[in-house]
Amino acid sequence: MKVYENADMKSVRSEKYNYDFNKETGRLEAWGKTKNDIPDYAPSPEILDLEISSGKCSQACTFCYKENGSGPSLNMTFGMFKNIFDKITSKKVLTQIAFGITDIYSNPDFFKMMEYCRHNGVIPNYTTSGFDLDEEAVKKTSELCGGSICFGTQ
Amino acid sequence: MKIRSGFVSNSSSSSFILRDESVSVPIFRDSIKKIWNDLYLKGECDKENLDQVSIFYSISFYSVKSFQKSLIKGLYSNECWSASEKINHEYVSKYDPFFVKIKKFITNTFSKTYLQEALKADIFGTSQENEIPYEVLKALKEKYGSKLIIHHLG
Repeated sequence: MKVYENADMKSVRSEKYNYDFNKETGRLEAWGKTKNDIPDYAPSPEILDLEISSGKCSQACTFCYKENGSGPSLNMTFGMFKNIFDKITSKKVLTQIAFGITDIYSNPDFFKMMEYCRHNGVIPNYTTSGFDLDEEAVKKTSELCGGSICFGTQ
Repeated sequence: MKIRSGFVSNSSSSSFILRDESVSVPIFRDSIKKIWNDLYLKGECDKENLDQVSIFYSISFYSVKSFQKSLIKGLYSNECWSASEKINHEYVSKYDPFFVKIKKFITNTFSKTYLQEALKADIFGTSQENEIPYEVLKALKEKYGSKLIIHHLG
């Protein structure tokens, strides 16, 4: 399997699994032996949903599928994140990560994790209530994240 | 070819339960296509993936009555992370007044699980990340009302 990558695109080529991923738009086209085929499975994950914080969240949205809101704030360490990331990206297939967080600054390593993703060619994004987005967070988000932030609020 | 049209969020895949005997899988699929196309012509959503609704496995609809229940349970374990989640589950905040906590406790205790509802449905469907635009989901909900339950997955 060969992986080609530049600032805008990432492409994988092999006999039965191929894709083109646009880093700017998030569009992914994946195919098998021919473009008419849908690959049965990828050799390793194309996307990753990763919860790096849970528990205490200031908005406590009633529809939160993680039921965050109360309880102690539990945060993944950067070391654990790096361990997971490095294993999952060992085949260079991963394109993007959707981070699950609570408040923006709950996990002190959140932006460091997103920087690590970008540095390794994986596009991060996250879901937030948006209530604690300050100027610094917006600036870093615009530099590091994919096309949009997903706001989940009530 | 499989196409993912944008960046994923932490809850961008969806599952559907439709309880309406008069609606068959082809009718339901056609109604999605019509809603999608109408919204696209009004410039309110992308056309990306529209043609996949009836072609690709990743947006799948099943007639529950002709489908073995054990297979639906299998689909849940593969695709629906929150199969055991209660429908109408209400988040209980520590800030809720006591009588609200009691009311929510009763609701949560007696509300049915998503899997129980799916096994009694007429149509069950799943879609992966960002395959059906939010605008289409919203219009579907307006069309079918309480007969349709849309569940956002992780």
